[in-house]
Amino acid sequence: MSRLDKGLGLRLGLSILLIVICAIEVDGFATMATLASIVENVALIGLLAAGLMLTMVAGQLDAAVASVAAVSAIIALLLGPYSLVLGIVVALVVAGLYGCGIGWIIARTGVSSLVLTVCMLIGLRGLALILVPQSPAVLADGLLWVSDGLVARVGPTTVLGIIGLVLILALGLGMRCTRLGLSLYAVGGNLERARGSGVNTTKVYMVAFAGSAMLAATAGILAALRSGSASGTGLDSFLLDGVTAAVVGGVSLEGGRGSIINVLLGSLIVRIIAAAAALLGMQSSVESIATGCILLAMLLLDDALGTRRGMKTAARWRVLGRPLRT
Amino acid sequence: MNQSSITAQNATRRIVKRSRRYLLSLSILALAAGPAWAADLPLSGGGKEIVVLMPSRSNAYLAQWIRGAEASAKEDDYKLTVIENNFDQTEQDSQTEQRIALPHQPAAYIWWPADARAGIASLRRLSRTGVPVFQANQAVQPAAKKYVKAYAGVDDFFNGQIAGQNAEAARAAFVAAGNKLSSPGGNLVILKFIPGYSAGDDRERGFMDATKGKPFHVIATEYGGFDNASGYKAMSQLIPRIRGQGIDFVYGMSDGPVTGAVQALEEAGLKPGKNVYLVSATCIADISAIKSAKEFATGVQAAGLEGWFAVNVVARYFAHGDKILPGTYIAPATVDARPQFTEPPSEVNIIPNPPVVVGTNAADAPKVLANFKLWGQTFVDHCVY
Repeated sequence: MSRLDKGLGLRLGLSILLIVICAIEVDGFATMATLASIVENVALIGLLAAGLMLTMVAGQLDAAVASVAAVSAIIALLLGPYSLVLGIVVALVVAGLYGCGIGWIIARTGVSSLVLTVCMLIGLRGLALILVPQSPAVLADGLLWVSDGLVARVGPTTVLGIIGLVLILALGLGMRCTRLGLSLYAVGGNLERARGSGVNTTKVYMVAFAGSAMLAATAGILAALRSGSASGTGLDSFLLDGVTAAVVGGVSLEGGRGSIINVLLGSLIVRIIAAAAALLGMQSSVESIATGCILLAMLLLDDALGTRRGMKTAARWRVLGRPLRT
Repeated sequence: MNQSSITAQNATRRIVKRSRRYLLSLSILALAAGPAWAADLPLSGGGKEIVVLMPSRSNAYLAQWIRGAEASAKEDDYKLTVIENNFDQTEQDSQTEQRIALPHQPAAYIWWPADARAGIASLRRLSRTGVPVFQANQAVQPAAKKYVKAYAGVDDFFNGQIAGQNAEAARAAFVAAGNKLSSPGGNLVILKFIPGYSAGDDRERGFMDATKGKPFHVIATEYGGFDNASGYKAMSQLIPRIRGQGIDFVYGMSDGPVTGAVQALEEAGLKPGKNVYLVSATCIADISAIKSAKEFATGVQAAGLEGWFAVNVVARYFAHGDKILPGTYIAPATVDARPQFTEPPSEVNIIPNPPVVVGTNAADAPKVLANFKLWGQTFVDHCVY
């Protein structure tokens, strides 16, 4: 079994194990309602984790996703009274431009992405509080149907869940089947080799950070539309949720490794725990301990199975169809 | 008509008269007994479930609130399920969706929003289940009134007014102690909670309302959070900037940040309780500042009492046949025992927040605190957890 298959098997096995245990032990878990709620939240957290994966695969980290999501949600809802569609488009375009800018700065200056995006995390949170200093931006009464529409059930999920999953799966395909997507892995696997082979690393970083910002913005807007409001202090937990899902999903912090299916399974594992905790009326501290334990266990198991170590760079380059210059 | 028949008629009249009196007396007794019946009105929930959606008990106040709510649920035979979020509206929205979708719904929901002004769509969907929704702690926003049966908890505007009265008493004592005010009304620093937390805005408005007769001169307003560390940090950062103007008074939203501010002021060479007086709106967990008279006065917003009261409001709602009285009810600040709550709940139900002024004498402060009682419990019972 390849390392990729081992990682997938591990996460799939753990997900099934958790589902079986919760279905037996937690009253109300084995219902379509709970399933729909879990899938909806997997889609929401999965969007963040998928965005983070873009930067992590490229060997970087976008720590500003929570603030980007908050500002984007506020922009969309503030423009909502004029046109909600316009608000969403403007928010996504602003997020994309911001991400391109961050990627360009990192590529050109070599500044640490962690340091830069932590600065942005703080700065954008301040901007969010300036945009809505007192009351949050709220969805007008006439637009609450959008909120209801997003949580309308469609089979084992909701409209929001479908939107999120479609976007995540499209991203996964893009990463596996396009030259740009494969370049992300190559840059994250070995930056110098990628440069030497003529990969435009500036473009790769710009795409990675723009993608991360736009996915964070999408998650923030969807969360705000579901809630009917967006506050300056909101969506604070997005960064930790996204990073947890990505790491449980086997994305390497060293770059060059990560798959959308595993990230989705990572999100699923995290959300199963959250759903069971909510149904049991568990203290949030206990839920945090449980999530931390799962995260630690996954890291140790990945290490034992060797699934988190990057695929050999040569294999990536073969996929890219470029000769190796050593 | 002979004498005997007249006597018989008189006797009959007397009997009728007496009977009327007895009937009248019985009617009056029956009316008077009404409240007595009400006092014995069973609040038994028969094990029905009340689901509370609220922020995490990682905050000491919320943990104590939950303990009070659990005690109340036990008294009234309700099953209490608390679903906590990490002060995160998105998480609370997810939990709400999940709970709404379950086939078995509780008897009532208690909604404590992560942000009072946010999550209105979730509250709307919660109310659409047909299960009565009661809001706790954070005042109901005008747009959300139609989704909520009743509110039970604190009134932050009222708490701010209490703090305003405390500050006026502090100003009088400050001047009486021979201190000179740095401005006609006295220079004041306000330490609010966190941005977007409506309780802080309401407490500020209440304070301003209570002191509008002779306003303080506000030289700085900063977010001081909920605990000592946040209060210390906020005050430490402020002192170098505003010290030149003269800091006479500090108004903190609760004792947590005020205790942190005391430390920051002392490190800067100022003397709380001597040349700078601090007041707060409510006590919480750490009472070291008020106990040592470095804090002049506070208010007793008892977390456990608030939690108890919120569940009691729900229990009374069901006991009175789903009845809600119009208007606002402020629970009396009785000293030795809890008041008898016999009436149906009102639209707005407020817990008391009596002031506690210890002054500046450190030797007297413990005695003042020891003598304080509310609903049969001491200051320490209400404020230390």
